[in-house]
Amino acid sequence: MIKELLGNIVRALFLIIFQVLILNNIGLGGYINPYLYILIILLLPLETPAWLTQIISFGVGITIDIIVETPGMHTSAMIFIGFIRPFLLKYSAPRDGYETDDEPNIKSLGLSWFFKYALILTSAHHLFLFQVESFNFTNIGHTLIRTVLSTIFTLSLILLTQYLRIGNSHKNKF
Amino acid sequence: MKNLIRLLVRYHLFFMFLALEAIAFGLLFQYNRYHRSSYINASTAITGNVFSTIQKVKDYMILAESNKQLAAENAQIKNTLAQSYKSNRISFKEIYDSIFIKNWEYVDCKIVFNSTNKQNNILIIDKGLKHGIKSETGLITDRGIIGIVRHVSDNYSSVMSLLNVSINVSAKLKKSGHFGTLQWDGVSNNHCWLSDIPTHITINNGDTVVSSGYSTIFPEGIIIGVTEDINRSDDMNFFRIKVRLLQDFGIITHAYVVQNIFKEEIDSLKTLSRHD
Repeated sequence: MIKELLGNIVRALFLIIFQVLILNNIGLGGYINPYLYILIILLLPLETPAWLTQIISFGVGITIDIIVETPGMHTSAMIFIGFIRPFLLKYSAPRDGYETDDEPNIKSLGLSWFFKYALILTSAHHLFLFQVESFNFTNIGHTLIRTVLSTIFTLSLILLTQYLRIGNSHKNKF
Repeated sequence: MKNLIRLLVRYHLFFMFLALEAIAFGLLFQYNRYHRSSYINASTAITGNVFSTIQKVKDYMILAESNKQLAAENAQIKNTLAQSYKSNRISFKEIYDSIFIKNWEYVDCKIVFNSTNKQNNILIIDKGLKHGIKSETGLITDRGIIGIVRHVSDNYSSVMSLLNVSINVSAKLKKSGHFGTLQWDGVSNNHCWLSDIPTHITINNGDTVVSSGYSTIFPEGIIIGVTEDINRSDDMNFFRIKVRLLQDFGIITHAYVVQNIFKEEIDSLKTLSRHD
């Protein structure tokens, strides 16, 4: 339990630092901005209460916002995925429900499940974020293009980290 | 209150989401210049819209009052127009003659109201007591009988139209002289039904129907219409004749009130004879 908590905190700190120091400096043509820090919410334990998910989302979002000086923008998008994640988990559960030791990652629940799960949350987050950023509906086309391209990029990064993790755990096991 | 708490508990995630989003958007509008100006623009537009809508609703509320005011103003203006004065002239003369006694008296009048679309249609004419109109007198035009004057006020009279299901007019066939009762069935504005004509006489389509002169209301020989369709009545002893009226009731503007000067005399005789 403590180990899991510590693991999540370390992951969160690492991802936030990685985000603000490296990923925020990647801007490919003004269209692609990867936001890997949402992995913090994606990888929270399955049994995390819904209210706690929202609080953590709020905390992570506001941290990023304070660092990059866009108060409210990342916070609102993060609260949004924090709100929908419990419902998504509920409706995408396997037929027999989750096992007690299941974790929301490829190793535990498979690539297909994780891909859908990550795709929905990532695109929801990106759409919300870019819409709040542009804050009008006249150039929604531009917002959608940014959402699609950035989602592809972020999703690739997320899957990449998953395979890194799998490799690690194999190494640990043997 | 209990229900409210139950609602809050049940949807606590959603309300929490809303609260956190409110905080996030509060921060967004507070610290981001672009979002702040967008927010202010939008909210100004929205409040402007709301206020103009409220104003529209308010305008609507006082519509009745405004209408009343306008109508009062209109009436005041119309009162000053020349059209609102009608002639009080009486256009008949009495001629005294010891050989020919004047029997029928005509007063020209203007139709000021005319209904044709009901079962009990009436007309209003612009002549009344002041102009010598009495009730139970006839209203005619050069194309036929229009109706019977019923109620008379100082300046106007109401007329029961021939297009009224409760009217009976004594009419006859001009050629044979047989008379019957003319009634309207409430269907067509151009047709009446002549009944009580005995079946032994021959009638052709297109025969003229005129007033009989047996009533004290209409003089004899006032044209009414032409026969159009001849049927037997239910008991087969009388004809039931469809009469096409010559007068189009929709377009009457002027007519004549025709009064029998000896009406009272004849009526009093009728009353006397009733007891015989």
